[in-house]
Amino acid sequence: MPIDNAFKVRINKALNDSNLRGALGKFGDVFPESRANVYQGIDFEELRGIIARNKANAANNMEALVDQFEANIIKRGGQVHRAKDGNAVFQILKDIAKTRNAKKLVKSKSMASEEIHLNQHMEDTLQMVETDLGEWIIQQVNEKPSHMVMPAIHLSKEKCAEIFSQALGYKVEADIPNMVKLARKTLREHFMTADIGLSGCNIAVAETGTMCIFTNEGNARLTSSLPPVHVILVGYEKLAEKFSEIAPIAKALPKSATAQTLTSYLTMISGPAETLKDKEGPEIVKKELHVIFLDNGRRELLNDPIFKEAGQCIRCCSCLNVCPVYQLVGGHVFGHIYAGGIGSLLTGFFNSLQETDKVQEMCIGCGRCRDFCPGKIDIPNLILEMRNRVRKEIPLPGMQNFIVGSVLRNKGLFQFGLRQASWASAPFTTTGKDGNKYIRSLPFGFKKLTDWRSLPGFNSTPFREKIKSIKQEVTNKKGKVAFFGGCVIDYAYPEIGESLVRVLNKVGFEVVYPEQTCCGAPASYMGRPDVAKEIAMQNLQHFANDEFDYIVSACPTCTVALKEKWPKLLEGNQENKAIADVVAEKTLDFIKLMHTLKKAQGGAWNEVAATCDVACSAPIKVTYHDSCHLNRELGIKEEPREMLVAQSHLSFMEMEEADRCCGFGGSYCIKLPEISTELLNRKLRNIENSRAEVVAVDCPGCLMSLRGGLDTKKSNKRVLHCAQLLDGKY
Amino acid sequence: MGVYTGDWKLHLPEGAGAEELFKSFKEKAEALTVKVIRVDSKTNAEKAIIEEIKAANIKLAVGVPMTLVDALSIQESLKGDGIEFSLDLDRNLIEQAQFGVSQFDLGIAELGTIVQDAESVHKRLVSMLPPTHLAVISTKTIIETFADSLEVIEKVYNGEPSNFIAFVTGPSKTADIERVLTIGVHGPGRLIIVCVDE
Ligand code: SF4
Ligand code: SF4
Repeated sequence: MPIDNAFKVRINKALNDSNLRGALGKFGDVFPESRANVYQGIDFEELRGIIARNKANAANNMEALVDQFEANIIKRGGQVHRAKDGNAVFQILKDIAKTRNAKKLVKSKSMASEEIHLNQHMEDTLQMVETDLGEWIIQQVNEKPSHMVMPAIHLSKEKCAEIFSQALGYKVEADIPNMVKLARKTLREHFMTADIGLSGCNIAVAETGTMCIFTNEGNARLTSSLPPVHVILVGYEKLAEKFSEIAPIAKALPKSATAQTLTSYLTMISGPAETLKDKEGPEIVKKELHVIFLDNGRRELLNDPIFKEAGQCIRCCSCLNVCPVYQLVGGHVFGHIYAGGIGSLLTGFFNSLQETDKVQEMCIGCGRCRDFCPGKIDIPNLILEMRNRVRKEIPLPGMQNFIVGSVLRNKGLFQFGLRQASWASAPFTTTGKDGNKYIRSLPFGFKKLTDWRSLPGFNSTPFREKIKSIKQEVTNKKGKVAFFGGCVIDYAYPEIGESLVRVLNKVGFEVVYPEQTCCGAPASYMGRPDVAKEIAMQNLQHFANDEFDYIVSACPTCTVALKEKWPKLLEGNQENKAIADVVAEKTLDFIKLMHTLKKAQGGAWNEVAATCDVACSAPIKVTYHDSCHLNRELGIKEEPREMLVAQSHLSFMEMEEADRCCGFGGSYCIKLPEISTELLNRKLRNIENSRAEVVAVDCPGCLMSLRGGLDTKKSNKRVLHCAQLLDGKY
Repeated sequence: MGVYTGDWKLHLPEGAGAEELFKSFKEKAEALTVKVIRVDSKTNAEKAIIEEIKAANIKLAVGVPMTLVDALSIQESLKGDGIEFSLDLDRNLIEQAQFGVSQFDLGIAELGTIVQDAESVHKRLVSMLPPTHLAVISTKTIIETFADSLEVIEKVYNGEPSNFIAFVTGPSKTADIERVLTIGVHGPGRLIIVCVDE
């Protein structure tokens, strides 16, 4: 079942948890800066390129590498087991415990053990003691980790003190150094008396049989040294081919995880080191070393042509730390065992599609995580792929599925529907401070949509009609541009289209508006690539015309669809794919097209702008909001700024967090308005705090969201598309 | 099996132990709250160790046999001050000690990291259990990068690394409660490195 009321209750609970919000928010704010400091002087792109290559190579040779690894460990006297799933691990561990007559196991952090609920399944056989401080704390209250590096980040020190008091049987004050001291003492006793130590490992090198464990507390060292038996639980994705491949991971992991140059301890185990016989000695014997390779969906993942990329993850968690949605709700809502965007992918393989169903829906697709990922994983696009797979098994509920499957698919019905919206919404439309039409409140079940931001009034004459009556005067004609309007411009903001036509006319291009329908993005983002593909086909022929020098869109989401998604969707048919490639090649987002044309003409931006519509004595203060798709998917960041800076009528200034998602996300704001609101409010605060009068954007979706939010807040600031600014419509 | 006695010094990259490497090593380690002491001879190293142990105001310290300093002479000297410096492989005794001394094989300048072949259980217990650890390294074994250290290890062990190699970078720490950095969880909260120019 996709997002339902029960899940919404959990979301709201997280949103109202001030401890959680405070902790995650603060960390999210400081992390990018500390991380940037520690990466200073390092070429991150190069480094992650190496890591991604090595990990991909290891995935491709997984079976051979695990054999080589096993041979090395056996040669040294260790034992290697291969476990298909959790049950197999429990059995192996039970056998080890039985032979040894073991009573107690100390465990240093292992996410794989969490994934299979190891503690719960072994409790009857062994006393299981978590020794990582955060893990120990949450073990006392039977909770799951909410972050893979900082499992107890969701708990305040007061809550921790309560947990300590309960566990130790006396009152413990909320004093962090003192709690740490008590934990050291309590756990030291466990270490001294444990029969088995169990840990995870971060890297398993086939060439040498070396397992690397990174920790700060030092618990992995004690786990591997004090008990006479050491069991290491390794996922297949941890394999590396060569010993030298440790270096790039050791360089990236601590920096990306906790902004450290290296963790306090890096332990390399290549075989059973010596230990004291029966814990106490004095006789020195070889330790009993077991390595358990856990499959549990990993082989399928690593063999999957698309998802094997997720195997490049080194579990640094920087993707969680920077994710605007994770920062709001944490890993218990946005996560199953593994948290955040990457967690939703791993869960789909390690657990089940059912278990990732709701979790993967939390991603708004802003792409911020991808910029930070040292494994170079395209997390948001993999999540879309995961959504496709989930939706094949678990369809959307009736009405939503009907809209995607029938309305979007049927061109006529779709356009009819949007037109109906214009008259249906007319009675609710009012004029806002900026002179634009808004819907401030909708009746019935639609009220939720307008509670937190006004919607645009639908325009009675869509752009597709308006263009017919626009007189295009092109002096010095250089060519012809086909315009892909997109639903938002076509039906809500045709004036952006009109500005675009005038601006392009001015630089010598005639604009044509070929027959077209939706770009298919909404269907894609809702997990229906089949529908998106049909829609792409409906558009394709009309844009594959030699006459067009360029194809332009003023909506980055549509641009991404034409430029990146259509060729992929149509891969199955060579002929269509070839046409889609040509279309993709010619497609540019409006601001990029203007930049390209201006560059070719010597880059005189200021000549573009028409004379100002209003008489202004001083330049208008303008700031820029980056659309996620334009910035991170298309890599366009500097171009709009160059344009704004060059306009003599404008005075450009950056706002805080200009590239942070505004929370619109297309259908996301309908699916998860509670998250969207929070994201939007943060953006609005940044806008209010800037001294700008105008916010420039390149995405009509962001424009809709920002205008609606500012209208609700009765703000005087205005939001304009760059095409409007270049058209002098300040 | 057994303690590998291969000499790391024979496999160091060119330029190891250079003055600027020591400088960087010291700077990085100190940034992590590590106390770095440099001495020019074995005798002065022993003196420095004795002073540090005495300054800790404790009754029991533990150590392992070392090549850079003479553990027995340290033991002898401390006895006069009423401090036991035990070299015994006795787990419970080591656990009770407030101070451990062991020798490390390599220093990494870019990180302030020290590296040790820790196959020996004695070395491991002494460097892990007491709340303060004093590591002795030869200044000459300070190399530049982490990647260099991997190359040294590959050479020393001819492609078959020792069963247990420890990289230590600053004291044991945690930020698990409210992300507040707290020193000294399971490992030593205090780390002292004595660099001997020999
Ligand atoms: S794309 Fe954005 S919302 Fe989705 S996981 Fe990444 S950072 Fe989070
Ligand atoms: S997906 Fe990337 S950023 Fe996220 S934990 Fe894995 S390696 Fe780190």
